[in-house]
Amino acid sequence: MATEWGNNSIGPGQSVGWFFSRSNRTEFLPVLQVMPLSPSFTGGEWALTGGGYPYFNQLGVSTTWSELTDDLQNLVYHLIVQNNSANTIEYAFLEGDLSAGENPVAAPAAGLGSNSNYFLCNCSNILDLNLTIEVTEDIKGSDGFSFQVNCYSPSGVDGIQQYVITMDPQGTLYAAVDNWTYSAGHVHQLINYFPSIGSLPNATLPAGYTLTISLQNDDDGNITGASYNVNDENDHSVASKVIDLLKLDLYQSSNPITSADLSPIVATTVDFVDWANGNQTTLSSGAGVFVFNAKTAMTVRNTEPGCVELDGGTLETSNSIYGQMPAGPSQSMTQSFATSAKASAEIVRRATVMHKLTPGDAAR
Amino acid sequence: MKASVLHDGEGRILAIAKVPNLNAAGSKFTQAGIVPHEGQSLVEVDLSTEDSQRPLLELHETLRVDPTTKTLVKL
Repeated sequence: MATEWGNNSIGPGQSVGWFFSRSNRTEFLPVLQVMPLSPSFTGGEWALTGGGYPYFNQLGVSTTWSELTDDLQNLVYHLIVQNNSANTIEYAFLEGDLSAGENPVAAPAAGLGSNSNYFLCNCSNILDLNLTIEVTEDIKGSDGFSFQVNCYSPSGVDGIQQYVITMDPQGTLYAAVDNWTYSAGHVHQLINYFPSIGSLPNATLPAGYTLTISLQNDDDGNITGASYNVNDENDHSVASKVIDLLKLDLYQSSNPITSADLSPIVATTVDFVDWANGNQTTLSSGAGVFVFNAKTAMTVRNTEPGCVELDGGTLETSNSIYGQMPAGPSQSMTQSFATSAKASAEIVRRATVMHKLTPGDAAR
Repeated sequence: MKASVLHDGEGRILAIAKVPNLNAAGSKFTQAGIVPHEGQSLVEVDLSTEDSQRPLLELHETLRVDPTTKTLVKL
């Protein structure tokens, strides 16, 4: 059903530009039309403009243009109202909402950016989680940057599991596994594996690049490893690494990881932050899209679900910002990311337990 | 009541917009308004009680904008 609102006038032969703004929600198809409230007292004839565009000598509207605001929070629609008649016309707007999507989930309390993003969860085992990062604008940070897939386990061995592609300030790329156990209110390092997988000529990740982090599960849903890929704009491999957790050693030990050290994940959150060491990076540019896929459906939440073992978060921060997402559940979801004009990380989540990504073991 | 008045350089009214509280009107938009083109100017005016009750077409046809004071004056 359409909604009629406003009371406006437009003189004969005039064109008036309008804007209409609303929060950025997915799959919303705006339908805007003008409703004449007074006669034009003009015969209905039509003609062509010099450019061949047909028009009636009545009240009408142009096509609709749309704009996503720099902070990703709002969609602005633009159209021209035109009065081609010989008299002033009074009119209202008729607005239809052909939204096929869902309302977005409200942002987390700290905001949507830096180390504060939605949680994707199912409170069961998330299987075959795959994150693809499509870079649409060159990414450059004052202290490098990282894409962290921060995963949460139920009560078990691994409280927090981090799978990360990170680039240091010199342009070296790393694939990291940084897993933690939890006891007595603290996290303890279980795995810290940080091999270099390649480098770029400078510390900029060009637009058109695609990064993927894919997690593997065993029959019990435990995470057994991860594969990391960096492809350039022509889809040629720049760097890749497959990490089998059972081929690594425990942190600062020569004892190998065993299946008893593995755990499933029930929730995940992705952060676009500093490259490591709990620091903050200032992104001068960078934008793209996160594409999430999993064998199991996930739901979007703005708070950490109660089914995880601990309230944990990453210390690394940045001035990144994230777009809103519908609640799901779904096996496939997308989320935009971009760089805030702010020079510092204004969005910072403070979890009960914070963990730091520390460059560590590169052996094996 | 407030109104947005679009006028040319000589104060001739080209359009008038009375945008209500969009949420209360049932719109899904949070903001709406006129974007002036080159050579056009937009002023926000407080309509007098008398003018608020007059038909919009009558306002459009009988008033103009004083470009100096940015107020509505009779033609």
